[in-house]
Amino acid sequence: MSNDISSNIGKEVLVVKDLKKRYNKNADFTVKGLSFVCHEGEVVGIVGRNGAGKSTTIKCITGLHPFDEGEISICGFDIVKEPIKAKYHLGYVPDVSLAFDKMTGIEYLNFIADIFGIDSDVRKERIEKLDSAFGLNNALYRLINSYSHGMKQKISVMASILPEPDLWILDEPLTGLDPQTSSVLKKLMKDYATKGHTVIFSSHNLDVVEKLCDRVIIISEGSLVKDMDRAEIEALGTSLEEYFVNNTFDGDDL
Amino acid sequence: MSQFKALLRKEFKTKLAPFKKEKRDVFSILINVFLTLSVCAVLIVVFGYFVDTYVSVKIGFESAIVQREREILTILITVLILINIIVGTSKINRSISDHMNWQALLSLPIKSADIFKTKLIFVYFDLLILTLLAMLPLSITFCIVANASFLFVVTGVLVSLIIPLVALLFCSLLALPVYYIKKFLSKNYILTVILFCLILVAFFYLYSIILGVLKSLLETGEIKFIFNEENISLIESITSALYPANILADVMLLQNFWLNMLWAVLIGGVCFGVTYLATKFIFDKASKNQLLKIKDYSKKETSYKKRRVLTSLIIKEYISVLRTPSFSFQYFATTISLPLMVFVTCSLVTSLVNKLIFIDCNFEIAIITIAMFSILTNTFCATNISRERKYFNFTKTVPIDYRQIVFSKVIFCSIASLISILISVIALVIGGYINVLQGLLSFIITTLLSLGIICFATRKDLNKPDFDNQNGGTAVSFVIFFGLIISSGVAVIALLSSLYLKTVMEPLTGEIVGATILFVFAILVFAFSLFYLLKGLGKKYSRTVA
Repeated sequence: MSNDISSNIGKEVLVVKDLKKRYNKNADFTVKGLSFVCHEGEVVGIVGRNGAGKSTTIKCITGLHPFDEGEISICGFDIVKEPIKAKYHLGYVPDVSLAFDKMTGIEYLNFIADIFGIDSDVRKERIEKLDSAFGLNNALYRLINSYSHGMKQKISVMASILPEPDLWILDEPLTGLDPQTSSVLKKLMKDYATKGHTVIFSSHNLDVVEKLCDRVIIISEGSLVKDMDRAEIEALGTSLEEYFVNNTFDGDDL
Repeated sequence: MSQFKALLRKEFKTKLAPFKKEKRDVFSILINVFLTLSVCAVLIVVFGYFVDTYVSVKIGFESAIVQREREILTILITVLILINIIVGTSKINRSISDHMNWQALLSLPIKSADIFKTKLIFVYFDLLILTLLAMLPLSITFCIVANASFLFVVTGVLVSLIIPLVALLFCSLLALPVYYIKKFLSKNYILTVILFCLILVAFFYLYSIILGVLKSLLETGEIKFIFNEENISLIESITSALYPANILADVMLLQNFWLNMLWAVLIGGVCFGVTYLATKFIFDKASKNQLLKIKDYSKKETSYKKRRVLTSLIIKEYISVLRTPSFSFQYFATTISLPLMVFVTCSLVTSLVNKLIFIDCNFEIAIITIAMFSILTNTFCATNISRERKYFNFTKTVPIDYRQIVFSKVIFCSIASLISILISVIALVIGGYINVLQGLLSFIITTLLSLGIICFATRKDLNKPDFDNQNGGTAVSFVIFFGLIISSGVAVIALLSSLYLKTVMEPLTGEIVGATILFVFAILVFAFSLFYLLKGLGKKYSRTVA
């Protein structure tokens, strides 16, 4: 199944070309000329040590952080030149919840639906469907500032997927989720890609990445270490975790 | 002990954070110093004049200087205690409701007693600084005006050490009830807004009564006789009952110094003891998370109505302001208070000016008053970006044009501003101070100025947002400064119109020429502010990250 996907590559959904980013003029580059492409139908995992540049890369892709050099396009739209068009194709789950905490869950979801211009009937159907998957139920009518970390994560996931974007990016999505929700989310990510969308996520949980992803992008110190498809992951002869440790872990760190 | 020291160090560093090199903003500090000194200067001049007048009051042919001084100081100390109570209660409340700080501290192996002691010490020092800032200039002024010895300033400092202790007693008793009231109100937004508005109206009713009395005293010339025998004996009986302020006043005046000092120290000690026990109880509860529990409410109201993006953004602004008590007070208070402030001030100033210079300049006074108040009440807009906090980042990841986001904030602020200006103008027209045409002109001119300030404040906040404190940071002082310049500009032009143009030409022609100059000035202010807001907005917006 996975081999089918890698051999039958869909159209390009995300193109990152020579991305360079530093946080101030005197600092070193956090991301150093990173390039990769993601296609429709793929689940792509971005892995790397703390400070490797995963979150920075994701924040550049989503338009949150400006970058110094390079190009990023989503569904053919440049994130700098045509940010609005590009972001119409993007759903983003940040590492820290950005769901407005003075709104109730339902107000927030309606707000997102307004931004993406989703019709009343469609949004109602989608919200009900997502709620039955994530089970926020009555909590949807409470202020988000009363939510637990896991609930905030759920509402962020629901909001990001509500517009059914072509590209769904999740930054550390499984952190703080209970096992049931974690399982629902993993299934949702897989199903979402099966429908022809693209899913990109960063994680430190390499077991999940290994099981879930069609491709894995390993980043170290802001540079691409390895871009592996399913076949290459399976051909490693060792676990992804072991490969990762051997190829990104500097002996000096010990 | 080392934990206690570490906590003290942490609190101290937090206090000094705004002065750190990387966060320091010299211009803003200068503006703040300038504004503080201006307030102090006005306070000193008014206080000095008052002391001079009051101390020399004679009942019959007798003057009782020490008694009059005692009364002034008793009232002054009472006011300082009241201010300390308000500030202290708010500080203790903020400490116990700081969820993030408590969660961080509770996860560490720190004794809750140490946390409590640190918080209490810093609240005391905050109040002490506040008291000294008021007491030192006022006691020096008193010393000069009343020919007192320099010892008076020294005793003033001694008394300043006691005042926060007395205030803290009340703070510690009030902190918990206030906390629960705040918690209750924070869930009942509409009730909160109504309550705020009622309090505000009550304040302005009181304000209008005081100004009304002042106006009649000035008009009838009775102000010279306000300190008559009857009023003085009333003040005397009130101040003799104002314990412990009158004892502290005696300490300052060296009356039975050692005995009164002993009383003052005893009072301070008792206050400290009660405060210690009461705040320990509060902080113990807070440390056990008993105060932090959030009682959720369930309310099913499912509406899936589709809205335009701009409408949705404005509604989002409304929700976030309505559901944050401090913001809702600032926002709705503006709408309610501006017409009241304008009407009361206009009625006082117009009658006085007309009596003094015999020229009808109601129109100019109306414009000056509306412009000044509407400009200064718009300082709330200096939090337009900061109050988004980390959620500012969200808006950058969704397909919304940055101009829509910024203009939704400008429109949201403008709604309150325009409504309050309109009500002010209608009130002045109905009150007969200006005619309909003058009202229309006043509305257009002040609206342009107000919109200008909103644009300026929004961009100033975007240039250097304070996402941590959401209080607009340095932008607020800039906006006040800019507002004062604009108000001064309006005042100069209006005075030129009323005092010069109306005398060298036909009054009507003078008024038209004056209004035209004001109109051009307002357009220029608006154009400048809009240009300031839009220049490089996209670049600035994209580079700003919470």
